[in-house]
Amino acid sequence: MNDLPAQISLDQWAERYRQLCDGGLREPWYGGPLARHLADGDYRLLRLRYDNSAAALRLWNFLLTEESRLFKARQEGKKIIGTMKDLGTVPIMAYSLPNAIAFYPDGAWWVPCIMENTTRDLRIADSLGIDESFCPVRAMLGAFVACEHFPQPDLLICSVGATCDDFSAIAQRLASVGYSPFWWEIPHRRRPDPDEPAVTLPGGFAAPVSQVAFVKGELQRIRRELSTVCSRELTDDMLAAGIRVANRVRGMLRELRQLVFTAPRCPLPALELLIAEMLAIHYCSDRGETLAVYQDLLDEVRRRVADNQGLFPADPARIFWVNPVADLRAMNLLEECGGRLCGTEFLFCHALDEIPEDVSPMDALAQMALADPMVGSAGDRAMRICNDARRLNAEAVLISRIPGASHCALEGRVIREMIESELRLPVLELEVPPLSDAVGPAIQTRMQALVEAVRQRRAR
Amino acid sequence: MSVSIAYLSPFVPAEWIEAHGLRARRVEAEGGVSAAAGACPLATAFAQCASDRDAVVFTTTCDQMRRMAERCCIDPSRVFLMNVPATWETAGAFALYTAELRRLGRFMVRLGGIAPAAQQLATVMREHDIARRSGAVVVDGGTPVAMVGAPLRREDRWLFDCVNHAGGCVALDATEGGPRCWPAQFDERGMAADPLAELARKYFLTIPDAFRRPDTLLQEYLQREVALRTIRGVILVRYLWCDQWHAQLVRLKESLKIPVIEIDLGGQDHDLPRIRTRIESLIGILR
Repeated sequence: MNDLPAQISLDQWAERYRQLCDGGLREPWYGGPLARHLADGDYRLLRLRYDNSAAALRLWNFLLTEESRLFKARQEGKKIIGTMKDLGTVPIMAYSLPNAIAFYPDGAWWVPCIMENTTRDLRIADSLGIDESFCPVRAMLGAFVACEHFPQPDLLICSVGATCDDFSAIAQRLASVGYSPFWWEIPHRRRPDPDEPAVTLPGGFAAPVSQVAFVKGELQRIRRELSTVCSRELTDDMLAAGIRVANRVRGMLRELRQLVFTAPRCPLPALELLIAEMLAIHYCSDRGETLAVYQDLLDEVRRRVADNQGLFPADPARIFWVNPVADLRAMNLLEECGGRLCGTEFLFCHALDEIPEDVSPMDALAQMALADPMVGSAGDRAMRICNDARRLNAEAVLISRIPGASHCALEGRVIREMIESELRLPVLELEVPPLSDAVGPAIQTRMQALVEAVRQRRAR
Repeated sequence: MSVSIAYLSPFVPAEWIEAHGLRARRVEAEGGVSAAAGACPLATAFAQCASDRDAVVFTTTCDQMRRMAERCCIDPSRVFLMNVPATWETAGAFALYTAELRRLGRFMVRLGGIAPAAQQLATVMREHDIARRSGAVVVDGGTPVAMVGAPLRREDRWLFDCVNHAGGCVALDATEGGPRCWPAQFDERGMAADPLAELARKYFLTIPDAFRRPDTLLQEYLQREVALRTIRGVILVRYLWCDQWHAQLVRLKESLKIPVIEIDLGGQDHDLPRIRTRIESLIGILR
């Protein structure tokens, strides 16, 4: 069996799967050939290119079976906690309870892409006045109303305040049609005033102690609500254990990212890395399995790096990617244009940083929530991106704007200006719609131009 | 001459600024059409207009205004970004708003203001209360409609004339800056006990707005006022890219059960005839 890394199509995965099975592949309960997900309507899979490893197969199968996992948890009597917008904090609290499982309804923003607009989610959102001028996360509203893609949560927890307006407006619309989000406030993270007691947050941002105390108070409210819904007291010990597991997950992901970004030959494609990063936010509804999926990926990537194996023949342009994309195909496109990922900032770096274990669990979680790049200034976010891009030897930065997102227009400009002035790197800003086929050639041309710019700079 | 503080949000109490001996200047923004794609024309206009003031207060009431504080061409030490919580039903949110008022106070002291004595603040609050209550506009004649939504820029004031010329009258000005965004009347006992707490209570707990979570204050206010003034149609004004008000469109149609049209502001001049026609059509239908 040829185990050299390669990117293959869904069709090619059928033969590859047979080879892996013949070679003794052992899969978890959600395993199986990738093409079976087409029967669920996941038609975008036909347009993507995949890493050919068993580890990547497990990653994809894990991602694409979340819905059934959630329904299974409901049948088993677990409480389903829908957490919205905070991207990483509340799930740690929920998973600290033995009878709770958390997921992000926000994740429905990829449904129009994965299912190639064959669902009625967007039409329902339209009918409720949430039209295409909003961020693609509006699909979440349709998914709730249609009762599709996930079970109705026992508790819905939504952060507002220093969040994007789209999301806040959509969540309010959700409330108006009968859902009752538990609103909690995440304040805009500000720089401490001179002489004001301050804390250095995970990731390096600073915040006033008073803001950490405020967020801690908000998280205490969530803790009480979770305890009530789950009929179990959520103790500090339980939270501390939950944080330890979260740090284990994050530690594995950190190592994976470091290897992928810095190996001389790229050991894992951009698309699989994006999916892997997403798991860290809420464990794709199974914390234990997330660890197993990461372990497989790490083993594969370590082996490839040790054997000096990788994808993409010529020395690809090292691109730092900012913001998640609505269309997964865009990640493939970067590599087809001659680039590779050397760093990412998908809006949730606070879900990747190590959570402090030397302070009380609630203080630690409050610090983590405040470290969210979205709740601070665009300047702070841009500074962190600059630091990471410099550390990872990026040759260019690609900022993918999210269509309709209220934060992208100004934030993108701030990030671009700082990168150009601090790092003097070429920056490409482009908007990627949930299905980018119609504008695919334009996106491709612009990515090619970015890669050419990198090559010209190398030649100078 | 005392320092002038520019602001736009109704959650910035002019009383608090004036009690510090500074001038409160609510900016009537103008321009902003040349905003970058996706950037709010109002936030852009406000940042432009505020850039020649001594100091400026932005608020976190919307994403774009929060971020525009970083883009304002003014010495950063003279820019204050005030955290106004979106949630309002918890003691913690109220405490945060009050703490932000105190922080704004320290900012103003650094600019040359003087921290006010309680009595001094109460006096300014009474003056503002009287001014607000005496400013009621009498409207008669024409089909009564409500103008609801975002603050209007100077050049958007023609919308009121447009309604009048079409045979209507704006019997409820629920745009930001109109009576919708006035705090409830201050309570004498509250002012005697702790005027800053009373100021915070009336501003934070009674002003309805689209960004608040939940937004029940806004829905209750509109249902009450629309019934009281026998409003027959609503003109929802919002700026391009404003999600908070845009999301209210279908919601208001459902809850108020009267015709609602939406007007996008901050576009190009050639949009004006289209806006005029939409308003004339609404009034024509209602007549």
